Amino acid sequence: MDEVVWLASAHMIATLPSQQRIDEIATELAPDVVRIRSNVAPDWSEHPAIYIRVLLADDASRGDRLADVTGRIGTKLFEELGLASLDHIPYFRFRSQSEQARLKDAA
Amino acid sequence: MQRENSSGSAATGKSSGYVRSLGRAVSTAYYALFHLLLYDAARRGRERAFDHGPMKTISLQFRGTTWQDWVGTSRHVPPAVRSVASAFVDLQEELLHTADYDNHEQWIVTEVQATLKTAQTAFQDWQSIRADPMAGNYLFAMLLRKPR
Repeated sequence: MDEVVWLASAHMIATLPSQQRIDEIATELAPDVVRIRSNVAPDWSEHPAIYIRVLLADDASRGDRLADVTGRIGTKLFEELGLASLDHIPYFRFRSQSEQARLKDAA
Repeated sequence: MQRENSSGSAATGKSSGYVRSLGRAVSTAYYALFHLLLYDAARRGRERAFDHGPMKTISLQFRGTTWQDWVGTSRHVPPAVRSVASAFVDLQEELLHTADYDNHEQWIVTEVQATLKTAQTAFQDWQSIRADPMAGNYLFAMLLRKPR
């Protein structure tokens, strides 16, 4: 079940995005996006935040493509997940498949 | 958030010095934007009393499409100001939460590159909007940091 968040200023309810909806967007962003995960936690100043971690295909994380890819992904997620209406601050984090694999090997 | 560590050298295969340089790159990007805003505030005689927490609070207000001004009127925030405010919040989190507070000095090259691009875009957006009255409001609000 989605977590319910009260927005005091608007007296309306906004919901944190479900993993199912995030998965649907990740599918639409394939093949550049392999998967997207999110977690809710306080940020450095203890403000509620949602961290959206995007695993990119190696080709999408090439230096000459990265800026365009992350911009397109961020915009789509921001708009389609309604992140602007959340009290949680969205933070996007990107890594490539090969980076992720090496992190697993090192663990 | 787990980061690349120097022994793992994910995506780099480089030395621990190289990995540390990624952290310095993030730090430089954030403080460059921080000082860019201070510089423009100083040009308007408003350089004093800026610090990280209140700047974040005000930036959160200015990254929305509207901002409630001093008399309670809702004002449109130009996209370039929103971009700078959003970049400030993001870079600050990257630095203060995951860099300065991460004793493992772990970094992901792709993430650092994306962060540097965010900073570069913020500089470009600020150059395009710095003369706009709403940019002035952004700086002034950070100085006053009046509870809203």
